[in-house]
Amino acid sequence: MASAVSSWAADLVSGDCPDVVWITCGEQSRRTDGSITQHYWLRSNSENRLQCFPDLQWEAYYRLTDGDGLEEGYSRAPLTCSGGVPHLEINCRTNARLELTLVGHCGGKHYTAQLQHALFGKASAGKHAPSERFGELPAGLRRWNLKPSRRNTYQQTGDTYHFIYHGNAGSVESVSVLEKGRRLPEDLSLARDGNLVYTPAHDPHLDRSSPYEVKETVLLAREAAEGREYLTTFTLLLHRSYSAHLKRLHGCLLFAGMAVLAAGFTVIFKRRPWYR
Amino acid sequence: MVFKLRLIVQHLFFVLLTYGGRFGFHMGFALPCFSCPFVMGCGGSCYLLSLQGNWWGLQMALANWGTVMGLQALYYLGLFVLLTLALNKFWCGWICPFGTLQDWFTYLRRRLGIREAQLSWSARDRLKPVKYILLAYMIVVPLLIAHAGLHYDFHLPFCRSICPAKPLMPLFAGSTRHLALDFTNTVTLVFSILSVAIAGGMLVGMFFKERFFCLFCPMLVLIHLLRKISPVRFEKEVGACLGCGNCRRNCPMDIRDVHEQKTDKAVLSEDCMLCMTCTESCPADGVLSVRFFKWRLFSSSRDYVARRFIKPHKAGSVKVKV
Repeated sequence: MASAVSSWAADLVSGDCPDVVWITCGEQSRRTDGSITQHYWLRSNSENRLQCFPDLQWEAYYRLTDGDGLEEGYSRAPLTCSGGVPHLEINCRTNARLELTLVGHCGGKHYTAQLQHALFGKASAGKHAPSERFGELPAGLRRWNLKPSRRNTYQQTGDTYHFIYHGNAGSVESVSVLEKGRRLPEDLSLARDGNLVYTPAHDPHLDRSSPYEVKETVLLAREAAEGREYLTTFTLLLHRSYSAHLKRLHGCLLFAGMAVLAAGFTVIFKRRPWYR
Repeated sequence: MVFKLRLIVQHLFFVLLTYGGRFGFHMGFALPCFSCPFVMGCGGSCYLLSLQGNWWGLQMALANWGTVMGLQALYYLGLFVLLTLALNKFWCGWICPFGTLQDWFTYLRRRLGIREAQLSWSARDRLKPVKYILLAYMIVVPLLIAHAGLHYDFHLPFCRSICPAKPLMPLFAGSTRHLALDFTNTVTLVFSILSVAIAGGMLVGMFFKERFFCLFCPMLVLIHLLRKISPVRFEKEVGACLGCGNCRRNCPMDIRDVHEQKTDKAVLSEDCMLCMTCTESCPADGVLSVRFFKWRLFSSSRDYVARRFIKPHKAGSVKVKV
């Protein structure tokens, strides 16, 4: 999944620093207490040169939101190097929504990579155990804010997503979507107030696969301001749509047709008169 | 009157199990009745969903047996066994919301003056294995998903392709979603066609034949497996039976066993839902009785039949109700 995105993105490399950095979801493992550990990898369009980003300074912040509401403040997670690729893991005890933000810079480039998705821990009780409590995200950080969907737990194709870009929207040069299977990025237009509406298209391959299969779609904003370049990505983990392919009219017609057929069958093969 | 008490309990549980979740009431995920978890805000969930879901989950990773996932599966199974032992077939006749829905259709048919459809005994005998086949279906398919690479869209096979409660019960919560055909892929389409078509056919079946779906209900099989160790007993004093046949004629499930049993005291048969209609209509004192451990909950009596079925109409005459 990640390699498909990175293969075309490799063409975009310029200078010593990568152009695009984004978060991908790795494997999940469940501990014996029922909590879930999710692995994340940091990918870029120049993986061969990054090698755990020797020139980059990265910090990872995360926040888990469970049924009790939004957890106050962010926690920090340690970023390690695994197989030459930056990696971090987050443990979640209960059902929660994770907001993960990675911040780094290289030369004149400032990177923010974000991801949001649901984690389903099954540990009976207790709070999530963050490695280190932290307050808020760094001030002035360029980032995307995805308005939470109240309808769906999973991000899905065909749903409309409302983003707000926190930064100087006027200086944003381009907003693109990097999608698996697409050779060229899809360009989107960012409103002056930083609002962006994006509706990912349905994917026949995703529809044919398991409902838990995800397609990684990366939203990328390039902003140039004060001689610096800000590259902000948000990874959407898109599942197939659970409702777009439902045809209620077809179903109701079949239901009614079957009922008529069954009633006809019952009447024809009656064994005694219907009325008393 | 048992009939009226049952009516009240049935409707109380229908409301609790269909809307209870909206008010914070939830009886868990191991109920031995068709309380459909696809109803938004339901007050409890049918065990068959847990059975299919946990079974698949555990098969996917045998290592999970020693973890909290395994404990969860055992917890649901244990809870199901406890609940089943405690009330046995009362779940079917007194609590099951889908059973109550079927009873509404029966009431409507009677009000319209339409006679109940009759199934021949041979047809009924031929239908008996269906519930076992359905039970096998919901256990084998998850195994095939886990070990034979069957597509994951076959997940929850009984709920998503057979159970008529899934399309029908959410209608009471205002959702028509489960009546829709799902064109996502071939498997989902076939499953949704089966589900909607079966629901359409069952709806008519439930109208013309009392408790029609109960003839195929795999939950009955699971509950019946535990009948021997359940404190709930349905017994017949065979020596005192008059042989009038009221029990057979009044049984909504057309059970003959109670009438025909000449030797064995225990007459709780597989299709019985403990509605106690037979006990209510038995004119012999103490011949049929429903017990909880040694306590007698209700037993047949001549006086009861007289009060229930024969009511004073005018001075000097009687009106026979049935």
